[in-house]
Amino acid sequence: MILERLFQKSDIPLLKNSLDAAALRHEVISSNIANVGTPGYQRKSVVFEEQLQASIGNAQLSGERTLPQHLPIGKSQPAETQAKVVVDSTTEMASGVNNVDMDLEMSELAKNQIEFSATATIIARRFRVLKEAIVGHS
Amino acid sequence: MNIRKIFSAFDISATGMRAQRRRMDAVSSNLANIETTRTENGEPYRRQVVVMKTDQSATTFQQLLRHEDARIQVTDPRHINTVTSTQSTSEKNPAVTAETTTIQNNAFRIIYDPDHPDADENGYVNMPNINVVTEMVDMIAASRSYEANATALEANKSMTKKALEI
Repeated sequence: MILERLFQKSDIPLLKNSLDAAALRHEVISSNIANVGTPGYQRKSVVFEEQLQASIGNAQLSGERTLPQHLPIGKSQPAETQAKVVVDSTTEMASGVNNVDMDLEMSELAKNQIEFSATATIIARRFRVLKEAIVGHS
Repeated sequence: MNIRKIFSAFDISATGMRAQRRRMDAVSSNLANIETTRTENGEPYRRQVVVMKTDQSATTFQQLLRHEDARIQVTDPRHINTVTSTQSTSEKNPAVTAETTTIQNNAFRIIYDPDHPDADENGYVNMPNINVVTEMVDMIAASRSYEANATALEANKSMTKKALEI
């Protein structure tokens, strides 16, 4: 019970999914970069933030819960959002070989690396706070 | 986080680097043989090009195990499906393979040099049809693509290290 509240009801599952999404996105970007010379290759991307946004704010009506007996209205579980790989077939083939844009991929790579690093830092901090609480100070 | 996922990103970047290296090998070979008039089959050297292809073949041990041996036929919907992974081969992020091929049908560059040992009776010599500018451009492209893959690998390394700090 206490463990469930510590780990499942906290934002750690959400942060874990976010970290998973960053890892998956890194793999997809690596794949795009590796296939920069492959004729006819279609670049891939990862959607996670959009789905997370949709799971948070898609309801027209949402109820605030001030008592634990209240029913949740319009609030879904953002912690259950999973990252998804989509094939980008709409971007035009600028290079004539495939639709991989190296500048875009490299900037996405740098951005994703920072995101991953930030999420990992936050998770590490969460665990440190828990540990502090467990150990306590005399 | 699935640690195998991180390692598969390493593998993808490595195949990209290998592919660009093979491309660089082909360019070096073309530049080195720009004057070669004698090869094993008697004709002048022919230009080599590298063709890139996506590679989704099962390579890791787990994938081989999952796809070949650990598969049990499901003949009834109540049977338990032994394939545990939801990610099938077609959904995998593709790596890249490079194949070196020789261009067979392009014409040779003909120069007039009667003193050349391989000149015909009119004094013309067949030279390999290699354009230095094309090769140089290809070389720079290969070099930059290699750098891009190396950067992706470096990013992956630092991400993995960061994950180990949690």
